Formats: sequence, structure tokens, C-alpha cells
Amino acid sequence: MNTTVDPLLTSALSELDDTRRRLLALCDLTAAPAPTLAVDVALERSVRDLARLLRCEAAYALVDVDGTTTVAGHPRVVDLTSALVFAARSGRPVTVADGSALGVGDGPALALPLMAEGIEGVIALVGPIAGAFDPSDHWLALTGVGHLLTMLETIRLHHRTIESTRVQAELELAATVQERLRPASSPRLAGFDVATGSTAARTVGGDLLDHVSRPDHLYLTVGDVSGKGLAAALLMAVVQLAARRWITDLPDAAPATVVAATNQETYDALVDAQMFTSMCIARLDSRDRTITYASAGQSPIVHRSRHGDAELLLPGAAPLGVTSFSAAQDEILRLAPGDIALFGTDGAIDQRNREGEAFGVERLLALVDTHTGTAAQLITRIEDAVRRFGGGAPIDDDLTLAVVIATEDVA
Amino acid sequence: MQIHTANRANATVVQPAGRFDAHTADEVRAAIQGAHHERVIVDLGATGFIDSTGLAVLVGAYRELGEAFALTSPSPAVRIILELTGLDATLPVHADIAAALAPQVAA
Repeated sequence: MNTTVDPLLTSALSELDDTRRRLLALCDLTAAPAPTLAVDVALERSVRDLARLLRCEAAYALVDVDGTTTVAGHPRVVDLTSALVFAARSGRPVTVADGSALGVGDGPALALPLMAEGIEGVIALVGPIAGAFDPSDHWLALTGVGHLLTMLETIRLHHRTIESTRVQAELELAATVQERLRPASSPRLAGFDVATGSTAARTVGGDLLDHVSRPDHLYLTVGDVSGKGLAAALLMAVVQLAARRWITDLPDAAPATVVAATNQETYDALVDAQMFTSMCIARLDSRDRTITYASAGQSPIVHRSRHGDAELLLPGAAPLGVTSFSAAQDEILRLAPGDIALFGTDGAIDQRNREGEAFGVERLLALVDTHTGTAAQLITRIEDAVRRFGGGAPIDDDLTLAVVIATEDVA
Repeated sequence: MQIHTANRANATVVQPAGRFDAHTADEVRAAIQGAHHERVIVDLGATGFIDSTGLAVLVGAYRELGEAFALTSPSPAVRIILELTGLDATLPVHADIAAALAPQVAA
């Protein structure tokens, strides 16, 4: 049998087979990116497919994605540091006759930079079987590298989405823990109508609200850690637990003593975190209807006697964490039935409207001046007014309020 | 915000102009930490707004530098915040830069 085949036909068949292989490599290289793929797997596959597509002896990759470096090579891995510097300098594909300049052997080489947000790297293709890279090889290589970049960006976005979801879940868990640190309901004490409320500007807040009941008296604590977010929330928990323990451990403690002890205990943590916290501790006594309070930088207390205008009582000392010894002093308010004391006012005063104007002290004083209802109703009125002033947008700052109204009944 | 830094004979004066808040606090902190002199004066005359993050930068500088740190000529908006937070009782606040420099010169 005559097995002689026309040499031209043999050559044509060989070229067809080669084209088929390259088309298959191009298909593999440009397949839809899988966001769940690991970067090293994506890189290994791409390097292998690029070597097939460009018909070269070897292909290498070095990529940094968000600070994590991954290397890949076909048929082996080499050090591409020199190639990375070379590609970064040129910023475009570069062909060299001697790959030793790139650290990838001594044959012809093609270096292609990989540049995108959060991604930096280089692909090096070495030893073309045809003897040299031609212009169509450049075009094919750029197509392949472009697709690899898309794949890496997809993977990066997927990882960031997962990370963002995880952080959000942790924040929501932190918010739940913080919620449980707060009293479940407003306190009750003969001689006073007391109500409290707290709304965080973000998922977790830096405001402190707590109360401890004792026979005939009640400790009310409000505070505000500078800054917002998780760090402020963690410090808030540290300060709240310290204050609560001092109140519990020191029978009938003076508020200034609790403030000073809490400052001493939490000072180092506040300094380390580059934060400070304002705090006001008020002791309500139902036997003589007095409020003894010590304020360390806490926003002013609004006091309104039944027959007078509301006035501001400024703090007498700096917040906790500013100096190692707190200078907060005890002050006494003697209330008559109908008198109002409002604690924790900064979230309301600082709220801005769309024009950038602050809610301010005057609006707050007017609300207290005109109030005739219960303590809980005053909190609702202030919260509603602040939200309306902000145009219905989320509040700027944590809003924590404690209202005390003296009543006729006494212990 | 714009931050102007000037070196006097024995002190560095940092002047933050505009809003001194969570968005600009790091810049002011860096200006204070990069001061040429040990004595640092933050002039708040052109600071139109300060929030708790800005205050935390001033408190941090006071903790770090102690008596070598001073504030001068706070704008009305900043003065109110210093009073409301009780920080005016602790942080050294002077009427102007000359007054802040004076004790140091006398020494």
C-alpha cells in the first residue's frame, strides 16, 4: 500500500492540529472566571494555558494581591523578582532576546506587567518554539493576561465580600453583647420618674448607660467614649464594668469617688487607645429627693425647676483618661416635685441638619422648658426632634439620654 | 482642612484651619508628632469645628508633652466644646501665641 502522503498536506494537517491546540488553550484561558478559585490555582492554570497558547517552553508568574505574594511556573517555578522590577519600570509588554536579564534563562523572553487596583505582578513567557515571539504572539499574550487580571479581580472582590460579611456579622454580635450590657428597662425609685434611652449612630456605639439600684437610692451612669466604632464600644464596656464594680463594692459611695476610682482603673487602657471618655455618675436619693452627681467632662446637665427656666450645669472636671487623677467633685441638686434633670445631652446638641447647623443648646432647653409629661415622653420628644432636625437621615452621633423628674411620692 | 506649621524660637506652632474631626485628626496628630521643637502650640483660631476625635488628638498630645503643650486662641465654636467637656480646666489654653510663648521665654 502506498503510504506516501503529500508533504504539503502533512504540513497543513500539522498546522491545523497546532491551531486546534492553541484554540483549546485560548478557550481554557478565557473561560468564565470562578470567584471561588484560589489565587495560586488560578495562576497555575493561566501560566500553563499561556505556555500552550504562545507555544513556548516555559511560563512563569509572580503576583501580589493585597499584600499576599503568589508564584507559579510551568513546568517549574523560578524567581521572578528581576522580571517584576523590569516589567514595573516599563509598564508595557517587553520582548528581550536574552531572558537572563529577567532571571528566566538565556533564550528569548516576553515580560508582561499585571497592574490593577490591589494587584501587581508579572508574567514571563520564555523560549518560543518558533524561535522568536512575533506581533501576533504579543496580541494573544495581552488577551490572556487581560483575562487573568479579570479573574484575579473577581477572586479579590469575592474574598473582600466574604471578609466584609464576616466583619458585619462580628459587629452585629458585638452590638448584641453591648445591648445586653445595657439595663433592660428604666429604673424605678420612689420620689422620681426616671427614664433612659440610647441609640447608636452605627452598629455598635461608644455611649455608656447604666444604673444600679440600692435601697432608697439609685446610681445612674452616662458616658461617651471619644470616637466611634468597635474600639469605642470595647472601651465603653471596660469603663462601664469598672464603674459598676466600684458602685457595687463601695457601699453608699460618693459619685466623685466612683469617678476617680474608675479613672484610675481605666486610665492606661484609654491612653493606649488614644481615647478618653466623659462620664457622669448621679446618685438619686428618694429620702430627701436629691441628686448628687460628679461629672468628668460629660455633656452639661439640663436642670429645670418647676417655676424657672431650664439651665445648663457644666462639668467641673476633664474626662476620664486625660489625667491620671480625676478632679471631679460632688455637686448636689435638691429637687422639688416637677423639677427635671436631663443627663447625656451631647448626641442631641451636636446633631447637624443638611445645612450643617447644629441642633444646639437652645432647642434642647426649649424642649425641656415646655415639657409637662413623663420622663419617658421627654426622651421620645427629644429623640423625635433630633431626628426631624437631621432630616430623617441616620443620627450623627450616639444619642443617650437619661431623664429624672421629681414626683410627689417619697420613700 | 489646611494645616500650617511654623517654627518659632523655642516652639512649633501648628494651626489647623477648618474642621478638626475624624477625617482630619490623623493629619493634625502627624503635624504635632513631627514638630521640630519639644514645645508644641496648637493654635485653634481658625478651627471652625472640633469633634471628640479631634479632642482626643489634643488630649493625646497633652499626655505626651505635658507642660510643653499648649492651646491658643480657640475660636468661639471650639471654646464652647472645651468648656462643655471640662477640658478647659485641664488643658493649658492661652489667649494667643505670644501668651503661650511668654512663660517659656521667661524661664
